[in-house]
Amino acid sequence: MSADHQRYDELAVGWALHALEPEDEAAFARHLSGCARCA
Amino acid sequence: MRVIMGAVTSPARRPDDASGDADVMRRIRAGDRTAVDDLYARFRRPAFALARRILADDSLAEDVLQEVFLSVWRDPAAFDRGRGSVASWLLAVVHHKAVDAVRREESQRRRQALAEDEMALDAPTATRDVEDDAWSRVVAEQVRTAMGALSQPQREALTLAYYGGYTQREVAALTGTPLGTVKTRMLSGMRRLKQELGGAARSGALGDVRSAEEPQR
Repeated sequence: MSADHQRYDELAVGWALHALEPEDEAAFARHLSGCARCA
Repeated sequence: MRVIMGAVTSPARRPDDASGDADVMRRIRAGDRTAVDDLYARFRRPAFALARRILADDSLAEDVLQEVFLSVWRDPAAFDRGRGSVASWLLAVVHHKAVDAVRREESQRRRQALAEDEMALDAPTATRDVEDDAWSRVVAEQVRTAMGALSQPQREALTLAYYGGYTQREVAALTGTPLGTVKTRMLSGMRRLKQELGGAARSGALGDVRSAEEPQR
């Protein structure tokens, strides 16, 4: 899962910095609710 | 040059903006007054966002912006091309002057508070404020030191996003870097920061420092 998750690790940083584009922000928000690693 | 900073939205910056920025700086050095207005048009949004973030006050932030652009006009040679983009330099100047403004405000408030509170009736509160201030300074110093451990591209990407208020795509355009590389840089930079700051070795998005090395592209 680590390789799959790299994308979300990257988005997590952008999320924390409020630096995501709207579509990335929406994608990460969907992912966040179902992911123990990110939450 | 004073402009009301209401709900300003300007289009996202384009990849060719970095060379455009350098041209504007050249014109300023050549004494072209209109170039200062151009520089202002290019940077007022992130510069104001940054100053307001630090000062938490719109009118103080506007004062800082005035001060910054005036200082660029007076001493354009302060920008050294060899040391990075115009964007990261200018935002560093904004950051510096905004922090100075915070300190001025604080010391003024403190003098005033001291005069009013000679009786020291609220000594516990004052002590707590001083401790909070001291703690904030310690943390800020640690973060500054840790930022120094990052590679220049990592530092630039994180600085533009955090202090500049740019999105990842805007950072990519500003620095002329592919978006994917910017994302990877921010992640590897944050992991490095965590390591430098002695973050607990816990799994999570910032958990594994080693896996975040930038791939060759």
